[in-house]
Amino acid sequence: MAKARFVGIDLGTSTSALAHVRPDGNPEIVPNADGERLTPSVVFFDQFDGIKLIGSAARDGGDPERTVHHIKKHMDDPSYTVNMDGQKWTPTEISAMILSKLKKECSKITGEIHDVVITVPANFNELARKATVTAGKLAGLNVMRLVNEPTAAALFYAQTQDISGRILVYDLGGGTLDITILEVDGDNIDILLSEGARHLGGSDFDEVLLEILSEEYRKQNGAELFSNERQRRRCLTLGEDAKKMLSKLQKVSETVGNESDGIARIDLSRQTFEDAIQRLLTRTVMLVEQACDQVDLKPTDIDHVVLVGGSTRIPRVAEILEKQFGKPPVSCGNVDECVALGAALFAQRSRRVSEVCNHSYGTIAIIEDGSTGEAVVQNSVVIPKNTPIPCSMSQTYITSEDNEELIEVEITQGEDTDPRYVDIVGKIALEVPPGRKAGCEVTVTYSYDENQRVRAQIFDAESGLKKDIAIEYKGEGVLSDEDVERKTAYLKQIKIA
Amino acid sequence: MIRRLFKKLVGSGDSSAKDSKSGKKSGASSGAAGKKAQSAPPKPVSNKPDLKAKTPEAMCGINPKTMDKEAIKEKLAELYRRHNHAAGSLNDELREEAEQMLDAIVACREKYVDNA
Repeated sequence: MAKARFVGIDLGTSTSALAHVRPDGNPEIVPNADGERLTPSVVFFDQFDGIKLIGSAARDGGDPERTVHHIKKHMDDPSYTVNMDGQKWTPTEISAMILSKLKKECSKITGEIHDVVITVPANFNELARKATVTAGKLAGLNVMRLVNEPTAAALFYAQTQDISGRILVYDLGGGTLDITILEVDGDNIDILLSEGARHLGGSDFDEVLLEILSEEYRKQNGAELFSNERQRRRCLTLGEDAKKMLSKLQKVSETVGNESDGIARIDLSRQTFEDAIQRLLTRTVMLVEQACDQVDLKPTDIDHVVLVGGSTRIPRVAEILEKQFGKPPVSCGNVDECVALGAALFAQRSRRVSEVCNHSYGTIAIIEDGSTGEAVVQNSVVIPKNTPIPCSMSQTYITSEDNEELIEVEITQGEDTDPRYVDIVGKIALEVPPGRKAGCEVTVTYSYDENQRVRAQIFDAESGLKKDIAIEYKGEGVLSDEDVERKTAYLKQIKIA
Repeated sequence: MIRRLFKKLVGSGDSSAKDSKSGKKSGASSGAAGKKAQSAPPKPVSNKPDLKAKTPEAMCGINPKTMDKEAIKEKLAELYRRHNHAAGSLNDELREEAEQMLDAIVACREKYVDNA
């Protein structure tokens, strides 16, 4: 069987898609066996034959208690698992099932799929990136690179529109908002910055709409709209449909209800919906401001504002951005598919794309202000956010006390100086000879690779000893290397449809 | 207990990584500075928000009587940056706190900046 070349996968919160680059150089979406270009990222655990149903059938039917939605939102949670029939499933394994369906079904059209690029939100942390690569491995894929979703979308936009200049990509998807600012010069793309907001996307808007429907139902019927997960899920789907219609119409009417308390006909206006989500949209405005501020750009310095993600169909999103930038934003064309299409292009020409690291990495240290003599415990950044990658950077510190025999370095993720607001993602401990005075130089070096994975090294100058580690995470929701080996074989035996 | 490494900030003249809050450059360290750290116990920075405060203004430390629109905008931007990052923390408690703070930040932003 022929092998597919240059394959990109958008493993999305709401939907996933696979694209490849055709021999003529243009990318195209490959439909799944259900004939769909976008596969809902939903998994249904069948209790009779043990089948794992993925996609529309899983989303539209079945018991909500046995259905998993939006698993991507939990990829960065080390303790999250899904319990089904006494078995615990990690977000990585559930994501692997979605990837398995795409691999199995799309390869019938493209030829065998092995090497792929998978997209991730720009604000995905190290743990979530590692989990995504592992999900690919479990699904029998070789994840050559991860690429940030806005980067992939920008690559597709730049190719199809043949543009150059400074672009701000506003990617408001099902679960997250990503802002990326980049410069396009011919075939070369330099990412200047990526910023993101977690839990800010279409599914949050759906929840707001559900609140509106519930409140109105309460007024009309004097009862709760839903009392179990099945009813809630049904109402959520109705709300999602209404949201989509309100992107095109000023008013819609929805009939909602349940068996015990009857139905209600609820009129919804675009104005009501957009006012209700305004507080979430204000968060997006602040993120855009933060992004521009970090690279010292004014709105007038941006040549193009490009919309990506299904939630950018909400008219007020474009209105807000037009007010902010003084020019209307442009759609990347196909807001639902451009990330996968761009990922396929990235698989073909990643060497021409220069990316930046999306988080700062550092260590907790005692920092003394030279002018005041005041010493505080702070997060000391070694690799600042938005440094071009791959990169390797060092900071030299000194030991603070006499007779230290163990030097421990806490690896932090985050740019805040306050240790409370950064994550400790690892530790390195180096044993050194006894009887030393304080003030021995210790160099901490972090390396950041193209997949945004971090390695850390500690070097003690006096003894010449050093130690280096890759960051590993522990938790119920994290698979160890042994787990991955075991589960890869297990996942191959699971029936996925 | 972890014994922290030590670093002395000496102004803006060297090329090592930028300190993200103060804007100062981290300089080369010295043994003398290390001994000074031993004699003066370091203070942890403390920026924990008051989530029990009754108003968004109090949660954000905003005083509209003494702060003009630009000062409020700047303060909220600083808080947004911190809590938007914390919303993606590995720590559940911090994530929850961040969501509450983001709601308060947005409420102040809409009241004193966007709709002022």
